Amino acid sequence: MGDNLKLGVLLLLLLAAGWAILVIPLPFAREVAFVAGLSVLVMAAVHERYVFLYAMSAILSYGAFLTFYAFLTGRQSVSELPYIYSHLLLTAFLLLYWVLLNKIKHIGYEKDELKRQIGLLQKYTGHSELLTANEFIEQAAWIMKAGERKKEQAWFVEISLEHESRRTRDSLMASLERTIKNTIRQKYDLVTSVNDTIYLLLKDTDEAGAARVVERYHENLRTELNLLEPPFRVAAVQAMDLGQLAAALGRSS
Amino acid sequence: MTLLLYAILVFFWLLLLFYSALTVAGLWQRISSQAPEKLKGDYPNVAVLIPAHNEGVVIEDTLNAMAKLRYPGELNIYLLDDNSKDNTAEIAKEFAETFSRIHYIPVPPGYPSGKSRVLNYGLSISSSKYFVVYDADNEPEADAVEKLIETAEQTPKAAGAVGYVKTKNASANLLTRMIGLEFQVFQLLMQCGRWALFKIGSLAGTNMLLRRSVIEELGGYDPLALAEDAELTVRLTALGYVLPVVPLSRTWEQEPETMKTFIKQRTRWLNGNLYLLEKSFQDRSAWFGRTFMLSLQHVVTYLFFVLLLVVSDIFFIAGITGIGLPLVGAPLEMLWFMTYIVYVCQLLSSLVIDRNLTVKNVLLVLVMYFTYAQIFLFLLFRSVTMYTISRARKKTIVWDKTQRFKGNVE
Repeated sequence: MGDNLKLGVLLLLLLAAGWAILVIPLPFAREVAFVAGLSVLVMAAVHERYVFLYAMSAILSYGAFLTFYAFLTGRQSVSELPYIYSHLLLTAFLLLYWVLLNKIKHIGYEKDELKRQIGLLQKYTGHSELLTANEFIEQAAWIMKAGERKKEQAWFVEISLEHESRRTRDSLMASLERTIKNTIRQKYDLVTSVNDTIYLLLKDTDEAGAARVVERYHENLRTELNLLEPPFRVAAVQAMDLGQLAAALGRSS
Repeated sequence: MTLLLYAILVFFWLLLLFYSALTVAGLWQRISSQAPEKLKGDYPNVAVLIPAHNEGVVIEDTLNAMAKLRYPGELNIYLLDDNSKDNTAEIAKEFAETFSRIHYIPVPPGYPSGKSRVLNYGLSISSSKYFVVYDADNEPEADAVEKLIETAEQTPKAAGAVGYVKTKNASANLLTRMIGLEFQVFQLLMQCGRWALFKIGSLAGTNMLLRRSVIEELGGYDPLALAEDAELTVRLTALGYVLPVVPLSRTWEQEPETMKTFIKQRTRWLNGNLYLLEKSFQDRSAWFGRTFMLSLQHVVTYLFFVLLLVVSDIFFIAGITGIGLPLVGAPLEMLWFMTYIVYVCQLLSSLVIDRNLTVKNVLLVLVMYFTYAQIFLFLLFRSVTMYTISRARKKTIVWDKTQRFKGNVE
C-alpha cells in the first residue's frame, strides 16, 4: 500500500472514530469527545517522544476511571459492555491519530534526509552552474593534495558583494557569478558561491597569476555594469590547507 | 467461589503490574543505555562457537556475517559440525580455507545429542579467556562481539554479557511477524527491565558471551538440558555472577516460518523449562537470593501465566456470549478488558522503542492476544504431556533441531 493511500485510509478511519464518539449514545460520550478533541491538539503540539506516552496515559487513565466507576456504582450487576465500547472508541481514536502523526512525521524526516543526501550528491548549484560548497571542498581536497606533491601553489580568492541597493542585489550577484565563469580557466579552476560571496581556487598559479585573474574579471564586468566603482571587495591569499578554505565557507573540512 | 475469583483477580493483576513494571523499566533502560566505553588496554581473546547440524540452507550467510566481525583482539570462529548430512561441511571448509580465523571442527558422535554436548566439545578444543555462542542461523552485526566484551570487562562480577536478538525474517509472514513482536517485548524489553530493576540477565542461547573460567567453575553445560541457556543462567546466578544486557550488540536470527516448525521449537523450549522447573523444585538453593527471582519467573511464566490465560478466556467468552459472570462485587468484564489493554500497551511500547511502528504491526498487536497468545495453551498442554510420558517411561527427550528457511536480513 502506498503512503498516500495509507494516509487516506488512516484519516478516514480517524474521522469515522470521531463521528462514532459524537453520535453513538455511550456512557460519558461528551467527556470522551472533549478528551479526544483536546488530545488532537496536545498530541500535535508536544514533542514526538511524548506523543506515545500521552496516548498510553490517556488510554490507561480512562480505563482505570471506568473500572473504578463500575466498581463504585455497582455496575457489575448489569452489563459492563457499554463501558468497554466507550473505551474502545477512545482507544481507537487515539491510536489512529498516533499512527497518523507518526506516519506524517516519518515522511517529513524522510524528506529532510533525502534533501540532505541530494545536497551531498549535487555538484552544481541551481542554474548558475557554479560548484556547490560541498563539491568545492571535495575537489579542493584533491587539488591541495596534488599541489603539495608537485610543489605547486594554489590561490584562494574571495569576492564579496558590497552593494547597498536591495532591489538590484540579487541580479547583481547573478551577473557576478555569470561573469566569473567566463573569467576563470574552465574545468581547471574551482568556483563556488555562498551567501553573496564568490570563492575561487586557482590551481597551479602564483600571486601575479591570481592578480591577472582579478584584473580580467574587472574588465569583463565593465561590459555588464554601469557602476564606476566595483560593487565588491576582493581578497586573495595563497591556499595553504583545506581547513582554511572550509572555515571561509563555513564548512567542516 | 467468590473468594477464589477474588484471589485469581488479585494474582492476575499483580502479575500484570509486575510485567508492566518490567516493560517500563526496560523502556527506561533502552532509552538511557549508551554504547560501552572502549577498553583502555588489550582486548582479551575470544572464541566464537557455532553449533551446526544440517545447516546448509543458512550457513553461508552465517559465515559471511562471521567473517565480517570486527574485533580489536584475537578472535577465532569455530563451526562445530554435529554430524551434518547435507552440504554444511563443504561450505564451512571453503570458508575455513579462505579465512585464517574461521575453523571447521567436526564433532565426534556421542550421547545425548544436542547443543549442550556440542558446546562442551567446542570448549574442549578451544582456548580463550571468553567464548561467544551463536546459533547457526545467526548474522551478528560487525561490532556485536566487541560490545559484549567491553560491557563484560567493565561490569563488576560479570560472568559475561547478553546481546539483543532481532528477527531477520519478520516480514516473511504473519507468524514470523508475531514472533518478532513477542521477542521485542517479552524477551528483549523485559530482559532489559529485569536488568534495570534486579540486575538479573538471562542467557539467550545466542549472542551470549561467557568467561571460560565461569563455565569451568560450573562444570560445563548440562548435556541433558534442552534449554541449556536458561539452565546455565540459574546456575551462574546462584554463584553470585551477573549477566549485563547489551541492547547495542545485535544479531539477526531466523524464526520459524511454518506453524509446524514453530510448535516443534517451542515444545522443545517448554520441555527444557519444565526440566529446569523440576530441577529447581528438587534444589532448595534455587529459591534463595537472586536465583529466587529467576525460579519465580519460571514458575510464573510457564505455569501460572498459562493458567491465568485460561481464566481470562473464560471471562472473555462469558462476556461476549452474555452468559454472565458470577456476581462477586467487582466489575469482572472491565477488569478483563483492562488486562487486554495493558497487554496491548506493552506490545505497542516495543514498537516505539524498536522503531518499527507500522499500520500492519499495530493491527497485529491488537489481535495477538486472540491468536498468537492462545497457541501457548496448546503448547503447554503438548509439552506437559510429552514430558510426563517421557518421565514415566524413564526416557530422555531428544534434541529436536529447528528447521531453517532461506531468508534475508530486513
